[in-house]
Amino acid sequence: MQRESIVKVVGAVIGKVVSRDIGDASENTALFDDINLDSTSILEVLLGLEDEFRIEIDPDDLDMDSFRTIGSLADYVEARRPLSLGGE
Amino acid sequence: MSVTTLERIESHLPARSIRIDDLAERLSLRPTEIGVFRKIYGLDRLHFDTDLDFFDLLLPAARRALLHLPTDGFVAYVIYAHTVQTVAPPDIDPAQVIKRELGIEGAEAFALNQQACVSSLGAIDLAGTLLRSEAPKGAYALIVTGEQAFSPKIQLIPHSAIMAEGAAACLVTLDGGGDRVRSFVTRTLGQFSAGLLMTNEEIRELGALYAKTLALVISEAIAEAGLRPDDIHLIIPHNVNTITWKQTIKELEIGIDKFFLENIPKVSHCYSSDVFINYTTLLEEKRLVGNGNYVLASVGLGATFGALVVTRKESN
Repeated sequence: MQRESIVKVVGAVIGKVVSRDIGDASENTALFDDINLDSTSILEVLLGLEDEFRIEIDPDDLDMDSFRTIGSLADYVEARRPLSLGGE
Repeated sequence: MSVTTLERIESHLPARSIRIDDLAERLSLRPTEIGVFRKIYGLDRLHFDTDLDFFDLLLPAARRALLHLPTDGFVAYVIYAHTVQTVAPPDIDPAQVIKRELGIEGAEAFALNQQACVSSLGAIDLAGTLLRSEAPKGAYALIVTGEQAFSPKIQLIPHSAIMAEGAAACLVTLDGGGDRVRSFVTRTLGQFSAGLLMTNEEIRELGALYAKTLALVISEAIAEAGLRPDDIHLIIPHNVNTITWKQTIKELEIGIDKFFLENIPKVSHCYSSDVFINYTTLLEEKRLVGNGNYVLASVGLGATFGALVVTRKESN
């Protein structure tokens, strides 16, 4: 899966959590300030990403720096995707 | 100077235990939010019974604690330590009801809740101070904790905890044979005094300070007790959630194996009763060792951070 597609899925998962379309969001869109996510909804997004990308979220390894923007969240997903899915 | 000693700690949980999923509708939590509380915050089950009378929750532990009052001792203070300011209708003074129902005569009965979920630890400190300053020999204080999650507004702590029901009691005296209180440290960050009414910005600011402040208070309490982190057998914490404690542990020179987190998925956060409930679990499982050093730690809305160090009485 290409970076652009990952960002698109991240945006869709966020949209589902906040119950609105964030179609105009970009990699630089700030999760707290622009989308008004709070600490629980960020974690909801993470669990949604876990299902979408079949990645394992380790609650002990959560770094808030990963949750600043849609782009940093996409980085977080890319770093945890199974190698077997890398060419999707 | 005389030493405050904890002569007996007892706890009581309602028989009815439910899964957090069962509270989704009451707390207006989406399935994904329940998922966050389960997977990230480490919650699963809790005790909650809307049919249980308030005093039927409070009194069993207190009655059992009183059984350990020696024949030549007497209760000089009944202290009801709670978190939520209003726990009963205005015509009912819980401290007076507790005193009356327990048949205690001549004691001063009063409540305190200024330190929210740290009030149980604050009550130990206060009991020691009162006993030292004005009570005759043989005097005891009975601390009672416990409250009901009677409204969704006091059951869900946003981004933090799902409150549960449980009660406890602690019998305190001076220079008794029980666990010796070595130190008590608190820190209140008054900028977060809005508690449940904090803005999202304030919640985020408190979240950024929480682990560091809690770790600092625990470290200070250990040092004030004249101990080092290696001297501590176990930290007995409040059951707010798992991730908060794991963040706090990262700030301390104490391994996670020394934190008793096993009750978090079983009983969740029972307001100011957690430290006592967890203590009794460890006692029942014979995991408290003679002369071992233990830290009781909690955080209350408002925001107060507290840690109290005790040295367990010698094994019989």
